[in-house]
Amino acid sequence: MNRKILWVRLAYWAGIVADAIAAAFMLFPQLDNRLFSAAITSNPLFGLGVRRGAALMIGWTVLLFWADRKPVERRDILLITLCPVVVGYAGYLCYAWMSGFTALRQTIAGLITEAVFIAVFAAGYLNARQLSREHNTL
Amino acid sequence: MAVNNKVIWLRIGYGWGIIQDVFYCFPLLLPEHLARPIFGVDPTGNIAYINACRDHFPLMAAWTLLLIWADRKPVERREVMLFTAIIVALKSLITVFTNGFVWEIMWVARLGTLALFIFGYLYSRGAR
Repeated sequence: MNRKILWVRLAYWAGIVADAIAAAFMLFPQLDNRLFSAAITSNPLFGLGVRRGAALMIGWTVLLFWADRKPVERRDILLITLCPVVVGYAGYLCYAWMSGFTALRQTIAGLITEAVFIAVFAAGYLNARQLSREHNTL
Repeated sequence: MAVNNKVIWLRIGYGWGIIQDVFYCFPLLLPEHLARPIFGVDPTGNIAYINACRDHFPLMAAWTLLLIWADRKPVERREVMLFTAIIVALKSLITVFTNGFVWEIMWVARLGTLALFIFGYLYSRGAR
């Protein structure tokens, strides 16, 4: 029982930490000089597009924190985070590489990270579902 | 009756949020064609902006699903409406800080949406 809830909460907190870091880089894209060149971050339209996305990322961070208050009851949030957020971002990474926007090395590193998140969120959701079933049969 | 009204206002808010999010998903997915008429931004040849839009798309699609999810149990999940209001406010602030304030008709929609979400959240307090 304890081990299952640990997996569920680990998934929420992995999402909270990752989203908070992502939101900071989206608000201040010039800090991410590993992924984006100075030519890209100084592009005013890029800044506008990325910063608008930051609002949603901040919202998603708060949402995961809220879901973590009732981790089993609000487990669907993990499923929505898994798909379309993480799966969609993996798709975007492939598109960015194919359009020549990012290098292959960056894309592979990103895809490995997304694969880890897919595993963590899937484990979190499945454990939460099992906990809910156990609770209902008691 | 009063309780029913509270739920109705919440559901109007969720429904309006879903319509807006679906509407904004299209220019994020196809910025080359739709960013100019909807966002007022000309992305021609700006691969960085097009990538920023497509990067943003999965989160917008997810927020649409989230509002549909919240609408299934509108009162129990009413905090989602507050989070959505925070996002609308943040997006507006970010746009002003990045581009400066430019009056456009979209501000009426933004402020109306914000008012609806805040009202829906506050009015539904105590509803079951």
